[in-house]
Amino acid sequence: MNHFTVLLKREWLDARRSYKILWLPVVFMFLGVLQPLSSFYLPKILKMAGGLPEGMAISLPELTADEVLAGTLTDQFDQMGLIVIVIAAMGIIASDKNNGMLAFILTRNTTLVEYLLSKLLGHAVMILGSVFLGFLTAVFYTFHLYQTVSVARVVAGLGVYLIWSLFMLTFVIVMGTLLARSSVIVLLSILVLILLKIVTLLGGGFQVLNPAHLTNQAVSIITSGNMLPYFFITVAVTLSLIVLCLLFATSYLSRKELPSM
Amino acid sequence: MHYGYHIGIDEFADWLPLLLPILILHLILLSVALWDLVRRDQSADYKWMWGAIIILINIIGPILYFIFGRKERTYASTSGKSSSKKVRKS
Repeated sequence: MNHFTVLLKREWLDARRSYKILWLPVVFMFLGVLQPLSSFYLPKILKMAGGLPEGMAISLPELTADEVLAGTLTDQFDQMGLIVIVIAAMGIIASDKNNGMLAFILTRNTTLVEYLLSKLLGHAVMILGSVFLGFLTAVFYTFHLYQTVSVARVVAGLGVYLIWSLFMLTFVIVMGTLLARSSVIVLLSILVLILLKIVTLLGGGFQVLNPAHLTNQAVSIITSGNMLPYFFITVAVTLSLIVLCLLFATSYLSRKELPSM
Repeated sequence: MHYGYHIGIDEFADWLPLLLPILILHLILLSVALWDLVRRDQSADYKWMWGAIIILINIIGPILYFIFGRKERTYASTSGKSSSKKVRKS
């Protein structure tokens, strides 16, 4: 396990050098602030900016606190947040592959599994921590501007959402092992992940197998306190997809990278 | 009917506690990005360009710099230990 701590230290150094440890939480906190503030002040801002034209009636929906929190997940974290996660994770494997670092690490007696796990763990802590911090700020703002929501619901909803974020991260890592150019990685990952999101809008039974459906579960938990049916199947499918992705990445790297050293 | 914005000082005091965290976050990002840019081994043109981006574009500017602007002069990737990197310990 000694190799593993060394690799983790390297991740930590990398995170500090690239300032990821700084800007990732800040971006998510900003996203978390955005939703409560904008939904609370939108009527006021419209009024201040001269008001609506005569005869034009837009009924702004009266949002409750839990709807605002759910909106933070669906409107901010699942759109900008998704893109930010993909951008933060795009170079994880690819940059190591391109500058020969991966081959160098593998000549030492570390295994690929240790390497991938250190990558995953280092970034998972950072990204999930950022999502957590961002949601925490959203919760604070919502509590201040609206009213309090049951904390247990919020924590449960956030926990479900973190599983989906972990899936996003793993997916980008796998893309990074398959492809070499980071622009292609970003494009493909964002396309596929957003496609998964859009497919959830269709509804239907096969959503049970869709990891992106976890967002809807989280929203349902936060707003109503109940989960949608087949919750545990979706969680199980997502977790097994994460493990499968990692296994696939390991086998692919061991086939492709080792001989070419 | 007037078109001007009307923000009194009293109202501003209500807004301030809400906007203060955003301001602080922005200032932290901005100062770290600028600090990093100044120390970087790059041409003056490059520094002026990114400096303008960092200062003029709110919030997004510094983040853009962290993601895309931190290239070495040679085409070495920024992440990962490059052996040529000097130990910068102050």
